Amino acid sequence: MKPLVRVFEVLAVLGSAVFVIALFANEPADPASDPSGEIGPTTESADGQDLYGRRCAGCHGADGQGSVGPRLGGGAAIENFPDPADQATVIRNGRGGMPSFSSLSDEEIDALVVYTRDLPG
Amino acid sequence: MSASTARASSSTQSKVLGIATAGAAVALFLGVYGRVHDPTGETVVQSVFSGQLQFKVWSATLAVALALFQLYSSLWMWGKVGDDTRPAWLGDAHRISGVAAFLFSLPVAYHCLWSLGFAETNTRAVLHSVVGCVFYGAFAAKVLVLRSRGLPGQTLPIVGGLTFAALVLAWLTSSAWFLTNDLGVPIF
Repeated sequence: MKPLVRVFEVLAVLGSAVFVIALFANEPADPASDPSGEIGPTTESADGQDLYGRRCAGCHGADGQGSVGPRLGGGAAIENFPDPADQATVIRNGRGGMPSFSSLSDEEIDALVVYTRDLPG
Repeated sequence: MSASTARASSSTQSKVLGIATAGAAVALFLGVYGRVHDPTGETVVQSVFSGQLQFKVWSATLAVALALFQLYSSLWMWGKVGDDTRPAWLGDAHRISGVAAFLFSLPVAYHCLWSLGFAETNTRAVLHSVVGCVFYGAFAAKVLVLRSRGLPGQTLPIVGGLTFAALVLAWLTSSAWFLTNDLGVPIF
């Protein structure tokens, strides 16, 4: 079994190297550098859906039906946050088990707020 | 104490201190990275699972299961459990299970650090962040202990125990919490 042990050890070294390199090299594309330069309600709405799918759906469910995170769809977001600014604050700062998403711009957070308030859930 | 004994003792202390410093440096590096890096919030990999968190939960659970085998096999090798037999495969199986546990933990830790960062939203999240960093520091120290000669006999069990405890605590404050909240598994 010695060769198998060696294989696992090599994998561990390679895995560690990839882990450290990816921590620094794998930065998401900056939306501000989008060459199309399109800004407007239509783009914001599309961004909201895209952002939700990448950053929120894992906890809140693909349609906002809830999972480890609370349900947002079916009007639950509006019910819990009558003032959209309160929802934006929770997205920005985190609360309870939810991490902070302070790296998002105000526009991105607004797009998420708009999108989640329309989720079917 | 003769001069040669004093030199050997000093060398051992230096080795232990060096290993502890290296382990602490790894843990500190990860903690600082998680603190200063802007969390991306992005999904990394979810494989065949329904979501990122599900992937993390089951990968971490597999890592803990392998770590439990590590603990049992180490106790077996040291004659603390089982009979006096030591199957030929035991040592290799112990090593493979440890490396495999580490490999399964890597994508989980990567998402934690790169996507979520060092969480400070509540006590559970802070504790998880701290013990997650401690786990990798302890793992690095354990690898160094295994490759060093002339260390006190209790060094390996202490560092191995710390590694195991940190992994289990990291699992309890994340995967077990998720399973309790999402699936209603009555862990807490």
